Amino acid sequence: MSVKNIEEQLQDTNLTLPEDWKNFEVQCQYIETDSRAFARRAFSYLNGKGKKPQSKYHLLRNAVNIVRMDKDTSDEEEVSMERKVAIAENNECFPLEENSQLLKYPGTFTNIATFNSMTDEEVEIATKWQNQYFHYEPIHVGTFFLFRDLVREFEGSKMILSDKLLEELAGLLQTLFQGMKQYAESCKEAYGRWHKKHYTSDKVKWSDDAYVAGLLHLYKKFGGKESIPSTLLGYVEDFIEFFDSDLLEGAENNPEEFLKYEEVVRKPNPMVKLNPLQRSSNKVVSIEDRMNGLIKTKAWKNTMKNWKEQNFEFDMSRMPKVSMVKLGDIEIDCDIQRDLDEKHCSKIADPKRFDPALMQVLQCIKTEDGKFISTDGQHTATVIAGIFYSLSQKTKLEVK
Amino acid sequence: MYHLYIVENSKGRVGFGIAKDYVERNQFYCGHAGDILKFPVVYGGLRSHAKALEKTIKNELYDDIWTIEKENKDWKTEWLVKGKNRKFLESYINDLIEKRHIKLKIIIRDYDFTQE
Repeated sequence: MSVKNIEEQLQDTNLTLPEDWKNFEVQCQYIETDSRAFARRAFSYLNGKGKKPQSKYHLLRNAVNIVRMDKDTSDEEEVSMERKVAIAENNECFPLEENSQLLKYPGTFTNIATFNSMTDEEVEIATKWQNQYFHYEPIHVGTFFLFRDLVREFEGSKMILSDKLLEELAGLLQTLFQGMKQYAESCKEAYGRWHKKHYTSDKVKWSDDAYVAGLLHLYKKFGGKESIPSTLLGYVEDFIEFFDSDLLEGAENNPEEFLKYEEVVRKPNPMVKLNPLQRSSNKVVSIEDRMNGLIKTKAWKNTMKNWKEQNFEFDMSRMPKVSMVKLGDIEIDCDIQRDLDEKHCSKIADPKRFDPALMQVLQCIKTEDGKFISTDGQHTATVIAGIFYSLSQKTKLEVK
Repeated sequence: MYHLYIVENSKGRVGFGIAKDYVERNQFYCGHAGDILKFPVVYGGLRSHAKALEKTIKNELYDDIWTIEKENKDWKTEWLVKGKNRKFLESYINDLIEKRHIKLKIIIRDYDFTQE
């Protein structure tokens, strides 16, 4: 963003670039109080305590909707996220929110952090395999760990991850565990027993590497012949001896039978039509609609019952006020707010993302002597001050 | 051998569960209910398959599981909602066993621990 642009924008809105950043006024929401305890508590609430955090799924959904619905492809990260979701959807796999009612359907998954950590190729191989062999089940996160490790180690070792190996691994999971979900549980049990035998500590430190290691060691035990990078087999071999004995007995007679995958008749996946990322709801509701939904719930009725029982009242005088306050008049109590994160400030001001329209209202308390003490928003305020300082005619040479 | 069973209470509500020792499990049910409760079907086979099948039932029959709401929390039971009878559950489980190649077989029907 150039100096000229900012000046032009300010002129358009009948504002002028302040000679001194201290005179620039920002919106402040404040409570008149001298109570530092209130300010401290307010900081905790505004920064997470008691707030419903934005989930990884919600962030993913927004990125996908920006690309799909708004056709905005200006952000590389959003484009990359949408591309990965499209790869998964093409293989009938669908990300969902943790508590979604749709999680009963095949191909659904909730571990967005692990999904985001995978490359396009890893997502393609993992979801294609899921759709080919376990098209009747939701995806367990172990599948993502398994394929992330498999693809990386095979590529690193310049070896080919063959279709035969992929089918035999599916066969092994099907015949021994009925799929990844039970394998993951059995694997953790076996790992726990192994740990107890070798270490005195009862606290088992689970490692996600064990998913791939356990399965590949079982593969070899059941007579699997496909080549596997030695790096994947270096993980504690004897922990597989701690799987259920009725499973391991199978390796003694006709072990190869356990590598054969048996087809399961495919049914249409309802998620293809229900996928929330493929269709916008086009729904706008009023506060009244929302309220009508809320007041019917048992949880809400219980809370309101508590209000009545405790004679709790809505104190109108506690409502915050809003006014324009000069940046130079705002103080920061270092015992309440965190240290300034300069790198975070520089990221906020990154011209790729910076937009004054996204500025949040500063939260303050106003003390009896008229001081505004910030309880939230010091990074925003400092960034704005920094921008005006660095761009003003008076100081820009100094900055250069 | 591990087991997956269907249980039916005196009011006709059906449930399910897994156990290594189904005889002992039936005794527990009877002891708590103060009545003889039947296991209409007991399946036997690999522990991992019994556990996997139980997980599948809980997932796929999510809407048919009897849920009790208490203090703003949902408590999912291992019983089905009224109207879903033993025939429905047995037919659903048998279908899964056949189509998904699950290594479980019916080992006894209409069992209670008073039987020899």
